[in-house]
Amino acid sequence: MPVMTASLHEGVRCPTIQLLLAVLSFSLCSGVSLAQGPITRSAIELAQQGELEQAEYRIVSALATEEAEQSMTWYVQAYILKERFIQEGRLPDSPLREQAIASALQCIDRDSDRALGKWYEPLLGYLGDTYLEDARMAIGSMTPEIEGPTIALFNRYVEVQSALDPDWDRQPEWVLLLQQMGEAAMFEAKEREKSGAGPWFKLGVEHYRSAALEEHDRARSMYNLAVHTYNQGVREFKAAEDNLDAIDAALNAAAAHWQHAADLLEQTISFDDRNSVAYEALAIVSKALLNQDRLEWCKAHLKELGGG
Amino acid sequence: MTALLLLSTRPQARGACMLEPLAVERMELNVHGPDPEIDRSPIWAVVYGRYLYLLGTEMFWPGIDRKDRFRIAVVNWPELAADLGVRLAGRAIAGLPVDIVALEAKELANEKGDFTMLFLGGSANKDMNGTLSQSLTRWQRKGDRRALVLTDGGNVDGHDVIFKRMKVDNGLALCVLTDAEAMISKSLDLPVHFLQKRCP
Repeated sequence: MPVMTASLHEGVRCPTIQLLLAVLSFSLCSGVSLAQGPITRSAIELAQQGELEQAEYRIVSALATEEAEQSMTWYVQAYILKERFIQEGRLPDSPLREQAIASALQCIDRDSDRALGKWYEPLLGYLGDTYLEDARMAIGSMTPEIEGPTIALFNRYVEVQSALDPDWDRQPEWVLLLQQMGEAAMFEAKEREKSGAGPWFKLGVEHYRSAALEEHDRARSMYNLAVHTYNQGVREFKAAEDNLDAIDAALNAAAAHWQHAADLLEQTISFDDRNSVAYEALAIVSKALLNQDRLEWCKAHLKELGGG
Repeated sequence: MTALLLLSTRPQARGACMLEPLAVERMELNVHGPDPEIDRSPIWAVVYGRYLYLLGTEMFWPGIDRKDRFRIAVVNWPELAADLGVRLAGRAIAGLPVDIVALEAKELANEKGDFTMLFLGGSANKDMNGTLSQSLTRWQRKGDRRALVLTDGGNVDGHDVIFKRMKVDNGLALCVLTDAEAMISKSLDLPVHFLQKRCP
């Protein structure tokens, strides 16, 4: 059923009529796990007519009978709830999403030979992905004082994905999310250059450090953290008051940031000694730190890598 | 230009996180040429810019009331001239509107007017130091030059003050060296705060 599988995954564009025809025709020539009771079939017909609420009532009725033993019944309920979730605007706090997931998990429990796997996997995958999308959207509500729902939403995404595949590796998505949170915080730090950059910078450092603890994409996490750290030093220096002591103190504070940036870039290069952008960045930071030897070292490597 | 490159963290496709450089701002890195890079790096232009502005505002300038502009010449360091231009846009020093004049070393020799401050960049570079010295000498011969002549670390004939970069235990600093005779001849005194930053 490739058409149905693809359309389910895409969610909103799911052609209900194709799904239902597929369910009906497939079930006619298949075994017990694809069996449909009369009430379930009736619910499908209602859904086919666009009567999703009626279909939902009908499928609840089906689940009060022996049709509840059939995995298909639970799948159809999951499908109807998912369609309603979409129809109502895919709201992050809609209970329909969790209800749809619960029904899909009931379906999985009853589908020991995974005969319905090609259907419920994309459905559940889609619902899980909506959590990831919401997690990313929630980054915008994050502040240094309030973490926001991003992590909780991501954890729910992980739970759903793990239900589909216990061996699923969350690390790539987790690292990407941390990087995005770090980047969002650093963007705010940049925007508030002269006042209030500090808390946002700290938040960005926290997220990028967490990302750099993970093996996946570590070079990028460290490189970006280094760049933001260097830039924060520049920002702090520029924001210093116009008196000599303040400027001297700001220069020392900036130097501490730059030294940290240099350390991060050295580590980035240790992961990949052909990473020319890291050499370029280290050369720039070395200029700030008056490290002529390191600058020469970077230039030699860049020349070797064909840069410049 | 003080910001570095960033690597994009935008998701192109789920799980795909290839290294894709996203240019925010980028400094020039001269891999093949001679090495004036630390001497005149953009970040140090920002640092020197702040010190020069502060010195300009804190120092007593004899005879300034007879002038209509506060003229700062920056020789051989266009980034510093640009930084000062941005910093001083719409601002005054000693009650006067400020002119920032960016010059190449050789252009200084042909400059006819005087300045209030004259800053020489790249002075720690041996090759550049000779050119700067010659140009400064030729410029100073053209008349009674009262400008406070500063360098970014090198000892150029005819200078008054050196702002020298140095590494210290806790980071970085600018320290000050002065040619006392030259300063006295121009009736110039550094503000106390700056005198306290003498180089060891």
